[in-house]
Amino acid sequence: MTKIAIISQPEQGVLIDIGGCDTVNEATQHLSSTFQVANQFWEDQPVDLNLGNLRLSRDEFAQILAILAERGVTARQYFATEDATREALRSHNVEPASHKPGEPIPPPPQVTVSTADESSIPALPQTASDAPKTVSADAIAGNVPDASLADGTATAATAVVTEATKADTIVVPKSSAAPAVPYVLYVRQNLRSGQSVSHKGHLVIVGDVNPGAEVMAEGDITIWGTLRGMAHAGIAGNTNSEIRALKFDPIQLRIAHAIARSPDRPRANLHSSGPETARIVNGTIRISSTAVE
Amino acid sequence: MSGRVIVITSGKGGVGKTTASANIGTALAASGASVALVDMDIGLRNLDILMGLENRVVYNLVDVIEEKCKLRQALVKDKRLPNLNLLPAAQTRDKSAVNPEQMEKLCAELKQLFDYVILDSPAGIEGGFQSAIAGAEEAIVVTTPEMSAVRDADRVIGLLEAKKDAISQYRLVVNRIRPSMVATNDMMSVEDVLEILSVKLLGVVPEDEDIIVSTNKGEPIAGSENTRAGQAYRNIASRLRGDDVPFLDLSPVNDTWFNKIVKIFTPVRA
Repeated sequence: MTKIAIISQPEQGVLIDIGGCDTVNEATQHLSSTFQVANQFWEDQPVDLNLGNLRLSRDEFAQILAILAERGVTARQYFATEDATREALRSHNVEPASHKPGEPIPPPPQVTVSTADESSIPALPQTASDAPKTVSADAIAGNVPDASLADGTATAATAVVTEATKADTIVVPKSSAAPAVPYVLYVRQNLRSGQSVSHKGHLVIVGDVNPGAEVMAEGDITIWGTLRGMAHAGIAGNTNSEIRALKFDPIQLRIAHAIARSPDRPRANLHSSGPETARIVNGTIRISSTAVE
Repeated sequence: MSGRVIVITSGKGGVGKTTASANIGTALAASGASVALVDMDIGLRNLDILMGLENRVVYNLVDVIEEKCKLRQALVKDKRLPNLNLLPAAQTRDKSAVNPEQMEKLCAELKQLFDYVILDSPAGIEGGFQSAIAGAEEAIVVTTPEMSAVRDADRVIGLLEAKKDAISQYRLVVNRIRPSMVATNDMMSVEDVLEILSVKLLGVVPEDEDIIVSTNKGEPIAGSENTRAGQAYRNIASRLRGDDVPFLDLSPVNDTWFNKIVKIFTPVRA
């Protein structure tokens, strides 16, 4: 499972969310591997970084700054819920973003439109418009709001205190979660051996995926190029995910929990002609030519 | 059961460590022993390609180390020999994903399950090499009859000697010998190499074009009967098992007119 979410915000750059990581070590590891991949993708890309409720010391934050600096990325804004982390940020002369605690990320402009007309939300195929909302709420907030506090189970005497702490620490209750952001990562480069891209939504690669490279997504994977490496769609278990590519020559295909491997001996008569789509049919992965709809 | 953990290393890259690992592993397994091949070259994995098992890799060494899966799940069974197993390296990680202590632990676990654990070390003498030799009890040093390869082998042998308490013995494989060039003094002979390195010789493998074919097909040459390199690797495996096998006669084939004609009519093996 991915612990780091990359969310492209239209006209707002990219939000990198490492709030899902349990430890700082894990966060730095995921962060540097993310940058290792898709390196051209990050150039000139405005980036926001959500630290979620990770607790960072001054030095640990310096580490994260160093990883960013290595790629020439300067985050415009940092979000953090943990007081210690905010303190660490300030010691580096970085002011944590002055967002309202209730909205960890300023919602992109489109969002208001998409709430009005839910059918326009590019939802993950799994369920209706409900699923992406929950996923994005978790991903963006990086922590699940403490339900007992939100439900007002605290006694009357402490109610005021609770109210105050709530304002400081609690992030979006799920019901009023920020509406789904378009959940597609667009990567425009060839992926070479050893590179891997993992994303919580749909994934679009414009370029080839070479042997030894891995692409993984919770939604669909679309490759405008040749797939020669490994592609895994529906990593969270969504069996309706699809993988499509202009040319299929993969080492392995995985959709949810199904795995298909290439034949041991190349078959000369099985030339792929034109774009094809892989999906699960009766529990196994089938590849068929992509029909234009 | 307690198996033998053998690391295959060289210092220099491109001398045939991975080829030797695949072939020695295959030859040992063909003789009935249970074998685990471990690709230690994290980030530049090749052993799975040589074995023709690339498309079956699901989990890898790093997943095992990080306890994302069980050891049994990560082992890939060979296509032909059921007692030959491959533990592939991770491709999307680097050498720092594994440290020597973790490898020691893993090797201890592996040798409970297999007669032979063959570790394919990466080139170099840095972290990846250190991890590869950490759990090993024996070493096979591969070199080619070139000054640079011999120099690097010497350096590696020095490092192995420094770990004398853990690594009980190390032996040499001289790879890619061309008998005809040795005869004309254009190539170092096995004796020259041994004189510099003064180690025990485990085997000599002649240069063989079939190696390239077998690499591309993903079928180790030790499995095919009538190749000289394949025979050499089978002999190496027998010597590892403790048999006394004479070294291959690598005297150059005489280029008489008769031999030339035979050569013309010998079909190229596919």
